[in-house]
Amino acid sequence: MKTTVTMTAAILVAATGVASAQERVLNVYNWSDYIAEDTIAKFEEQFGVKVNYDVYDSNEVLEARLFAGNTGFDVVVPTSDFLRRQIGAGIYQPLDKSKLPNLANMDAGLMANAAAYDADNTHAVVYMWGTTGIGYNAGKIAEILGQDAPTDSWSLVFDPEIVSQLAECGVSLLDAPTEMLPAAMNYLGLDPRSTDRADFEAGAELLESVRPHIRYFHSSQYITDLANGDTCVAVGWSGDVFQAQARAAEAENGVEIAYVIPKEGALQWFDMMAIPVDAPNPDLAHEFINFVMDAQITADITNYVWYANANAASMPLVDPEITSDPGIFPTEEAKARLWGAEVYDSRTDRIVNRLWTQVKTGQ
Amino acid sequence: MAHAAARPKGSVSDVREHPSMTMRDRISGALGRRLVIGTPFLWLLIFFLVPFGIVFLVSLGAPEFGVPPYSPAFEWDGGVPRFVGSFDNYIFLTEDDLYWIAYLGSVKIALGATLLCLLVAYPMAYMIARAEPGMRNILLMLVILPFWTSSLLRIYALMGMLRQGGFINSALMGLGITDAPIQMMQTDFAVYLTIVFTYLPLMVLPLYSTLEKLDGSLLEAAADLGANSFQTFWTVTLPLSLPGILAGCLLVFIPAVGEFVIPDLMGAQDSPMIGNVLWGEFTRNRDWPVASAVAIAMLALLVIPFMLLRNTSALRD
Amino acid sequence: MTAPIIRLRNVVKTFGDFTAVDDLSLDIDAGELFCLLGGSGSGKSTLLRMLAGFESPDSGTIEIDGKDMRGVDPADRPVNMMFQSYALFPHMTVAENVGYGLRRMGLAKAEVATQVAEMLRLVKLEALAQRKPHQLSGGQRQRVALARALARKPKVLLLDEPLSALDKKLREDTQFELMNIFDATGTTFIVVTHDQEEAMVLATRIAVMDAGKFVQVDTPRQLYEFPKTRFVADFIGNINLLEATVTGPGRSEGLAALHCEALGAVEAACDGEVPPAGAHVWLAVRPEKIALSTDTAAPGYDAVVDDLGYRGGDTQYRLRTASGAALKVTKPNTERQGQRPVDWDTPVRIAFAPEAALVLRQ
Repeated sequence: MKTTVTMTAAILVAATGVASAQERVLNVYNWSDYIAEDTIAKFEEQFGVKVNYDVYDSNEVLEARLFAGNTGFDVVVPTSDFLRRQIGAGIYQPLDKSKLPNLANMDAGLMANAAAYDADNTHAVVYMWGTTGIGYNAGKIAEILGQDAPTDSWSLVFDPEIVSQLAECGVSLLDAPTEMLPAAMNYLGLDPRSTDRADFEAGAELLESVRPHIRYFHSSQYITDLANGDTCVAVGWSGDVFQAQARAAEAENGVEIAYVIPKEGALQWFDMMAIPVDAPNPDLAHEFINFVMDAQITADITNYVWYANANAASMPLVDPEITSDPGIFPTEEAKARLWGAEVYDSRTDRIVNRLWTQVKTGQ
Repeated sequence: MAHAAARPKGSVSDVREHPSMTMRDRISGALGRRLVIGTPFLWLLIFFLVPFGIVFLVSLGAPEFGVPPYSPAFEWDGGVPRFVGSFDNYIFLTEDDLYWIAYLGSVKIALGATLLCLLVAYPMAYMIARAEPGMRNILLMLVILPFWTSSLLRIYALMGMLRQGGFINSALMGLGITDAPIQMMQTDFAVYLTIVFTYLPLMVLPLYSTLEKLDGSLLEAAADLGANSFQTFWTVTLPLSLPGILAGCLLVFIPAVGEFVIPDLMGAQDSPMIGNVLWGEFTRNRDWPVASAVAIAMLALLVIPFMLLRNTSALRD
Repeated sequence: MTAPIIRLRNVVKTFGDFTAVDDLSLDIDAGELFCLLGGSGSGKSTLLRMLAGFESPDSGTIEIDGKDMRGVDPADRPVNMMFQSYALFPHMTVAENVGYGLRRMGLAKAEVATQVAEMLRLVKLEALAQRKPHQLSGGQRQRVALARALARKPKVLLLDEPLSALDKKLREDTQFELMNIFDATGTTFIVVTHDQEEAMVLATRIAVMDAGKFVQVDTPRQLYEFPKTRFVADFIGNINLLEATVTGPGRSEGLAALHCEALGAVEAACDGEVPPAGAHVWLAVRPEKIALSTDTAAPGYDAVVDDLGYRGGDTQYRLRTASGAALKVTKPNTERQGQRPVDWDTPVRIAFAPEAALVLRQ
């Protein structure tokens, strides 16, 4: 029914689009399942424009399209470390901050963190942020490992002793080398931001030692599998694990999913809104970014996708269940152990990816 | 007899005998013919040769930060193109076993899946070809019908069947045949099954079209000359359906070698296919030149054996 | 003579509502060249296919060489078939085609080669052994098919329209070649054909078939000279069929006196009893048995030449009798010069001996 309504709306929009050729069009390219249901409709209504909203599910896909050029996108949402490289390639235009009064709503501390990837937040503002931690099936883990299972530690996936016991139940890792290798290095007591080849190799060795017990490496499949109880442990992105949790609750299948930022620390990442240099409609793009930074709009999105935002003004409007969840908004203590992704040069990229292939395939 | 012999050059005199056919008609006729013959060539040129050339040129460049993310193989030097690319990317491919292993792995999986496809499709095609004409159309329809839905949709449907808590495992456990779910996803089995499932119509249709044309009296002749049904099949039906087998195998094998969606979604991690490696080069490493070199090398490794095969079979006939 | 090589008893075969073969019984002796002659749908091909084993009768029995063929596969029958389309295996050479049946018998390679060579010699195709069927002419293919069917030395060779795919000239030559091969092998041949001339030339005995039944089974000469029915008379060769009424016995034994609308009072031979006076019959007389004279005083009946066709060897006339009935007459052109065909509209006299004409009751 919903689809029908949306389709009818789309047809109506298309029809009016034909009627008024002057109508402004905004092209947004964002992650899948990453916006509140009504955000786009509200923007269209308020500004009298039409929005083409398209989605992707990996930074690599976004980047390949951006590098190919002439994408026609006005607003894209890359993750911080990808953003930094892309800024280096001259893909983004500087933001005109005079058109972004809602910047005042933003959390100064988090924006400063994001500025590590984009000096003075020149090109982008934070959309949502999150961590790369562990999602697990609480019931199954307790059943297999007992009550004192190390659910607060990376040893759940990096200790062969423990992983081997969980293999039958199903363990998955993200197919994201720049997140998995640093996590392994961190577990070994190495600097997760190191670009030393030896450190990468040590991380890869650790991952190879657990590989026989890993069911698969994938960056979205785990949502469904965790929710269905097909797998028990997944390294995943905070919001995605919460999505799995919500699905399981909705299905009332007795599966209880929890998300943890392990005590050893975790990767903190920022998804950033930016405007490509060749955006057809940069003015409207600024208006959209400013619109999203509205306290209520951002709160709506967080309430829907269960990812943390960096909008201080929105906090009172966010569901307390979310703000109080340390998996989404970590405690100060946990925050201290988060690290940001290092941006690699292309040689390091190749080393990381080659080691990753070795981890996955044994080749 | 006499007047029949007087007009030996039929077509030429025909044109002369039709005063209504003007010079322009004749020219446009020739042009039309050329267009008809030229269209497939044009199609090939635009959609195969030109992209192939572009990919080849990219493979000679080096990765760069920028749009596009590679350096060109040629520079314009005062209006004259100067070659500045290199074949380093191809040399690089030979230095890392990964590419060779992935290529062999892809060929192995594609060959295995093609063979399985053939084994499943042949009896199907045979039965359809032997069915009553009315029934035949219904059966053909059933084979083609899945083709009308997105292959991704069909792959996800299979995932629903194969996963731990999926239909097959639930049924097996419900019936008490197994105690614990069988691991089917992320195995080579799942990849083979999905490729066979996805590409089956491509195998059935050419097989059907050759089997349907098979002269029934040849089978009777074989039986009459003392062949049992197996001998008839082995000595007559099978050799005469070879063109269909070859066409079907090519139609399945070629796309299966380059397949990357199926191994990505269903496959075990330790058997990467060349398509996944290529995808990784393109996205993760942002190395378009190496990705292009992988693509060109894959094409060359696929095409050359087939050209050799074609030549030997041409020699034999 | 020993037992017949083929014995049919009350064989019936239907396809849905259509009765293809209707209660047939027949014996064929070893060494016969037997023709099944009939139009399409007469059941001749169905009968042949039942002998080969491709169809099985609904009821009745088929015995070949003294054995009941019920449930016996085509592969296990002592017969082989030459198909109308030849059904040569296109992917095999001539030698491989001919050797196909031999290999199925489990013969050694060398033995197969010897026998193949022998068969190819028989059909004069030694030079083409390594050709593929598509590289052969129609006549050559026909001979390959023949050699292949004969290679297993069957007790009975079944030939389905063996000459129909050849052009007329080649067909005549091939007819005689086929007879030579028949003589050389001594095998029983059963030939299905729709061509009555072919049947006449080839056969020792012909079964004329119509609507799934045998109308008459006889030697070619008997069929031609003593047809039992108008159907046979008309089917085999050309004939004039005139309605007549019996007026009594003729002047000598075996003759009947008739009154014929077309000609008046005539006498004709009867096959068997002379029908009673008043019986409604047909007068059958072959065109070449009628004498034609331009001498209007000659004995016989008056007629006028309506049309004529010069055919080289003979001339065919279409005449109109005094009563307006049409009549066909052929006259051989025995001389090269002098003799000229009788012209259109010429009044002529026609005559035939009573023994040359036949009374048909049905």
